Amino acid sequence: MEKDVLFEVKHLKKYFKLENKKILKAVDDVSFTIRKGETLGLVGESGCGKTTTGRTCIGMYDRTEGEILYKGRDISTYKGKDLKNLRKEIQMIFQDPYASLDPRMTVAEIVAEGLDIHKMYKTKEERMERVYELLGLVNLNKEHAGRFIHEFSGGQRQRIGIARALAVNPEFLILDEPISALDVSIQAQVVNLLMKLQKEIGLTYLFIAHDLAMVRHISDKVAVMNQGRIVEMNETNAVFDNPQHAYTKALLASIPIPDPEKEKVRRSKLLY
Amino acid sequence: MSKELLKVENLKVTYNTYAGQVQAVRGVSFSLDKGETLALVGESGCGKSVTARSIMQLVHEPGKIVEGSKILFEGKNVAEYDQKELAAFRGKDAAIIFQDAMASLNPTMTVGKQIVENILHHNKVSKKEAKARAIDLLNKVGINNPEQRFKQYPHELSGGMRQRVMIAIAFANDPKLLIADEPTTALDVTIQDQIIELIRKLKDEHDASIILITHDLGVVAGIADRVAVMYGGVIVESGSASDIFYHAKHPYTKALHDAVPRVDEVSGKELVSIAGAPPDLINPPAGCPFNTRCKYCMNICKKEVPPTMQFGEGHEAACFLHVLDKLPKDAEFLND
Repeated sequence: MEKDVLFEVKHLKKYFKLENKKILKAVDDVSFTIRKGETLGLVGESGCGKTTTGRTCIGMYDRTEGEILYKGRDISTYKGKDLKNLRKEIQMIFQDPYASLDPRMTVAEIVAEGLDIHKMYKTKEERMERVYELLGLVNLNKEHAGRFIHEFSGGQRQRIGIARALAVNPEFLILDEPISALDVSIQAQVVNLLMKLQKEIGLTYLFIAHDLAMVRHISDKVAVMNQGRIVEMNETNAVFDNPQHAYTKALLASIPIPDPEKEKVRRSKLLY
Repeated sequence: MSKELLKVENLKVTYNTYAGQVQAVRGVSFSLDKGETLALVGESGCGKSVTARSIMQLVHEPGKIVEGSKILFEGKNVAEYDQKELAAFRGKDAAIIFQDAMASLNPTMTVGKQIVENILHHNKVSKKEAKARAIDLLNKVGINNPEQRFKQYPHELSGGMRQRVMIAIAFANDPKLLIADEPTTALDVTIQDQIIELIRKLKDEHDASIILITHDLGVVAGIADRVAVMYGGVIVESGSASDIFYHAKHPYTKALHDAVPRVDEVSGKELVSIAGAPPDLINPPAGCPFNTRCKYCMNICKKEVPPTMQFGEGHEAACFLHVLDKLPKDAEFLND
């Protein structure tokens, strides 16, 4: 039995008007579906439109055309209470953990902000308990709650960002390059955490990244974007082992392999 | 027979900050032969960039190269060069390129002029000759329409193109040593691959030596003859590329390999994450720098600096795991 589709985008377009009256087609007719509990990896090089796609999906940008369906219903039709609820269910995690967390708020305030807005507790004690629980979930501890963001390393900040997103019990997370600002040993920590949470809570991810190896590791399905369009989309291993589109082939061929013997073979096939 | 071009001995660099003295590099020694490519690998803050900058004498206040550190370039100590000797050394004997080409290029000068500047500084040639050479260089680094590009400003070029210009400047005077500090980190994979291939090609043509600083083991695998793995301001393991990739001895090197997923392998395994964070170099831990994160940490690791052990030619690692049998019987090496 196939799992239910949680999130679906149909013919999504996002055009930006430029000063010189030209139109930038950042996202040009993109369609994909994500089933509940699965991860779709959206990959491409810088400027391909992957971030714009993610931001348009969550409503940070107004789309130019197309449908964005969450649980079968277009997100533009959510109003009032429904909309507030939708904002709980879809959360976003950004690339830069230095820019996306308020330096003047304590960790507890950051993590609890969603709880406050959605009135998700009855007593102050309950609120703090939930904050501690969330910090524990991302492998931070109680003592961190009263501190400010500048006291944390990049990996810790990104985990605080994840705790903030998880506070409101979301079902769907849009992760925009969540690990590319982190060192390799820390990337593994965050990715393992994301995969553990998916298993335990059944989260659904749209994982936007340019690191193809990491995308292969985390995704069930992969969509490759180039110049605003998805040029190839398939099950992860199919895309990586048997790429069909010329762009995917070129992209995969350019990734260095951390193994000198295999790398020698790959380099010998290069055309430049 | 290969000959030694550069030898760094017991390099120590400190930065005085309000929080205290940061010991960015804590006694690094390595050598580089002519025509060899050495990769310095490590995470941010491990001291790899500071090591590279020290070679070029580019460590500025509040940073200081501690006295007694030796940087021998063809047998002469670069640390003792005066301003004039340094000016002749930089850009001619040794050149450096950085991660962010936009920040390294002068935004108010055309790229052509910046290449010409470097040629004129070190050679007695006419401006016309210098220009011809600059255009030739632009062509060599794979820039189309070099005559056109010569007249353009850095902001008119893409990131990959700017890095190519940096490489053209670096190779303008046939340097014996090129230091490339994360040259491709800011670039897309397809461009990264082209830039690495370009550096390889020019290295062979000019018979230069390269110190490549990176955190990307894939890039290392493709270009390095030898690899030095840095952690917490020291080199924890060094050896040939095959030593480091196939016979790693230090737990940190092994952990680095296991922490990155492979694009050529089916996923499934959980990544091996390294718990915790790199050490604070204001108060570096006693003993082994990796002791707070090491799976195999023993009591002795927290007290004494591990000795450097030799494993075959040129392969060294500093870890107590490899000297267990040589420790005295009563040594406190086991965990409580």
